Amino acid sequence: MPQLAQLHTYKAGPIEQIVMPGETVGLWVNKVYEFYKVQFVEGIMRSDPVALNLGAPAALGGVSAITQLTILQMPDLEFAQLRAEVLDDVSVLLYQGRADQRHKLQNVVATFSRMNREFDPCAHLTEFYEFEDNFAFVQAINNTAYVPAAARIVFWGYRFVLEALPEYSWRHGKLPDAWTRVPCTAHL
Amino acid sequence: MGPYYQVARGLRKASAIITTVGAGHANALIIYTPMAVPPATVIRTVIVRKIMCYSNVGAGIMELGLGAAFAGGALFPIFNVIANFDTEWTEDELPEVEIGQPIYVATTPLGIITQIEVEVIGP
Repeated sequence: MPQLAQLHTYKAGPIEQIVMPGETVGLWVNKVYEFYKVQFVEGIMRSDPVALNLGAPAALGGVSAITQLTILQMPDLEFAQLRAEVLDDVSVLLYQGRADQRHKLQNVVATFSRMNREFDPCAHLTEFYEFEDNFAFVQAINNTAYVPAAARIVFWGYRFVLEALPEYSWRHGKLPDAWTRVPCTAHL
Repeated sequence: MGPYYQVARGLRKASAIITTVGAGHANALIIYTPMAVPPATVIRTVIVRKIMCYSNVGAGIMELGLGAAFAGGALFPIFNVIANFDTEWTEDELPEVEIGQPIYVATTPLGIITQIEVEVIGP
């Protein structure tokens, strides 16, 4: 008996696309879900064009600028599913919206670092989603007593091409029968 | 005796290659910088996993210690360095000493070259 694919966000293990072509997604953008049908999916390889160097933050707690991830900008009617790995010994904060931190608790915000590979080799905890030009931002913090040569972070994942489904509306309570929730911006 | 397996607990980092130039412990050199610094609130420590040493200035000794002039004490007993030989100690031979301070090296005679690799423990 064929098994249904068990697809969902932040799935542990090597990255898998969160939805198949033809399925419906609800993208969390601007505090509502917007509904789309997935038309096309392709991979984004972990490669130089999708890597960013945040420079060399000063020793003893130096921080880089909060840097817009223009390399991850998606065209209209497309979103990306991405995982990340930090390559140098810095801690990295992720924002979706320049002032909207991801991975936050009540009082503190978790960071990406080189230690991620030790407890999360597949990087599923780093997974995030970006829709059109709702940019993600990153900032590096140097918790060491020396200046690193670089503060690199690299991304990989999937690209999803969408078709709008204007007949559905979160605001008006008209929802598809089955859809996958995709957090494309921070939950404030 | 079977092979020795070391379970990785943290990421590995290497020190710079240090040639001793100061006289004795009073001028011992920083070989590894600390990583337990504000604003990090949880201390990061290191465990020395590998040591490489080379001397073309004759046979001698090498010590690793904590703090300038080894104010924090020695990390290990003194190592014997063979002349013109790539002397190495690896993790299966080294005691698992966990340190949260800068590591310094001192040698007699001066001019001995040392590099270490550490495993970082912490967030």
